[in-house]
Amino acid sequence: MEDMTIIEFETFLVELDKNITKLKTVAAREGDTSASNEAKQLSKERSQLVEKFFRKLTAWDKVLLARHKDRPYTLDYVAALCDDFLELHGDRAFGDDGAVVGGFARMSGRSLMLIGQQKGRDLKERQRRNFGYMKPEGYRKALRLMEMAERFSRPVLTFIDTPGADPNVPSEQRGISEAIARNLREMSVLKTPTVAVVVGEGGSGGALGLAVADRVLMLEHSFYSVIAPEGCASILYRDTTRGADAAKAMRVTAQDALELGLIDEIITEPLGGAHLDITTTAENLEKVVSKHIDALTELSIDDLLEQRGKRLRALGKFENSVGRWRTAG
Amino acid sequence: MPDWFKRSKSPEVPEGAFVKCTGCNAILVTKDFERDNKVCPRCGFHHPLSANERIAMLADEESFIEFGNDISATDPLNFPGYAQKLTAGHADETGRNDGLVTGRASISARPVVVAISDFQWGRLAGTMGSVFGEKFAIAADVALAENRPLITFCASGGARMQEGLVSLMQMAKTSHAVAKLRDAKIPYIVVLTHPSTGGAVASYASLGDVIFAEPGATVALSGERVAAQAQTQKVPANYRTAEFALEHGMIDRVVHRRDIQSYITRTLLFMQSPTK
Repeated sequence: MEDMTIIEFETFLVELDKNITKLKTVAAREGDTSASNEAKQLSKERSQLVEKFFRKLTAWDKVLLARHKDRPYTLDYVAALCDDFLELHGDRAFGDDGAVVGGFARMSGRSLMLIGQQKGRDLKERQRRNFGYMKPEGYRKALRLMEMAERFSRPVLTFIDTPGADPNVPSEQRGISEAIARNLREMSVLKTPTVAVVVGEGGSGGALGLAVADRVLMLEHSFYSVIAPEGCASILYRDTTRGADAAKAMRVTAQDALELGLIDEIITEPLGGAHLDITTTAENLEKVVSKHIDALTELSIDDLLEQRGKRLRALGKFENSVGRWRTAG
Repeated sequence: MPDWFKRSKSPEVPEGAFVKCTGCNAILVTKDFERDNKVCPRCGFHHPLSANERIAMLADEESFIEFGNDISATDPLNFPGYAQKLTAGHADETGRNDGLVTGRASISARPVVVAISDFQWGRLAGTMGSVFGEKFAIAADVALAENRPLITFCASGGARMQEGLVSLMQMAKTSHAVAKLRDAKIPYIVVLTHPSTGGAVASYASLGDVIFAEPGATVALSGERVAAQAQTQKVPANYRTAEFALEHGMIDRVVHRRDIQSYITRTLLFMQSPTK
């Protein structure tokens, strides 16, 4: 059990559940009290095992959970949280990127611009959404919508869930770097409250391109990383299969990001992960997001921008001296 | 037998009198090579320069006054091997704290702030850690306070993996610094040199009012390995170069190294001359 990843553990639970069901069937059919007791005992042990496993989740388990095939995506949260969502398309220059959705949303009695990275469920949709890898036109669509939100004084809420920005030739041809850089610059001075939530994978610059905000939140089992753990492993150990070690070394979990002072709050997921209970996850998310948007909308735009500017200016860990490395050398 | 009859030994070649061009393997006289700012006269290959060499090439003599060396990195993640690299970097003869070199200078008698990447420092590939981000932000602050243009030379592998998510945030920090310059109408000039990749071009290095690049410099979001893995279609011959970026409208000009100083001067002249 110690060496299992979360995915292996889930498979194990499926087997266990089959056994419990069998025992229950036998107990019901034959009035077998010992079978019934055993089923009860196993159910109890099951929940203890789950609790125990989730207390000791590794960084790699978090990565696997964030990439879980059943992980809720942006549109799942939209369905669970929004009374209305009018999706808007296109960057007005080149195309419409399926890896990001955005539009007018009604959520907890408020109008806001909701923008989120979107992966697909089946192969066809995955291809249409480019597996969540955004292209330049995606970042430009997102910026167009954010600037619209600014004009009409609506807060911006972004959902982050991407392995990274699209690295293929057409994206380089259309200026993927510039598109991300421009978003960073413009989001840093956008004159409306902004909240970003990492709901799944926070994949480096591709994630940051939608995540410069007044408040940055993370779901409990999401991760946020400067480079994919596999990419880091390939550089560090020359071995892409050592993602687990790299994830640990880079401290990619939400809990790490909070400790490092890079995010504001962690949103709790139900035991077992968001995919087991999206309703509860969405409710938790809604509560925390609303609280922050309420606080931000209290501020004048000048104060808002000043606070955001101070946050951004203060990012980084350094010492106000030069002693350490010189004496060490 | 008279001396002149003897076959003389091969002439003494002082160590380092010649260098081989990385681009075309031509053997070049070091003195000429240095005079040409390490550009091969035969094939035009631009060899890497240290920050000090860049400053000598760019700034008016004795005008460079460095700042920003009074802070240092902390290895916030205790990342494998990072402490050794930092120690090595701090031990080098420049006595600097990072691959980004920042200071006041003048170019053609115009006061400016410069932020110049040194790819070699600490063998950290000019990556953007916390010290990089802070020095860039200080440079922008000085530019803003003293109404001096900011000129940056990029040579970077991107974010500094060894500082994890903290380093990713330096992209946001530097981009915000540029936003402030832009609001205040302070000129911001970027020169992309080899290599300008990853987080650097996805943040401050793509945000210049004007962007120049040296010929042949690698300019791309993704590293070579990632790019190779990701390709699903045929790759153009000049893919991931300054020339490719120019062709697709991402930069203003590809500029030979000997002309960089004059192009910057002309840019400043346009931006700063009185309106009447």
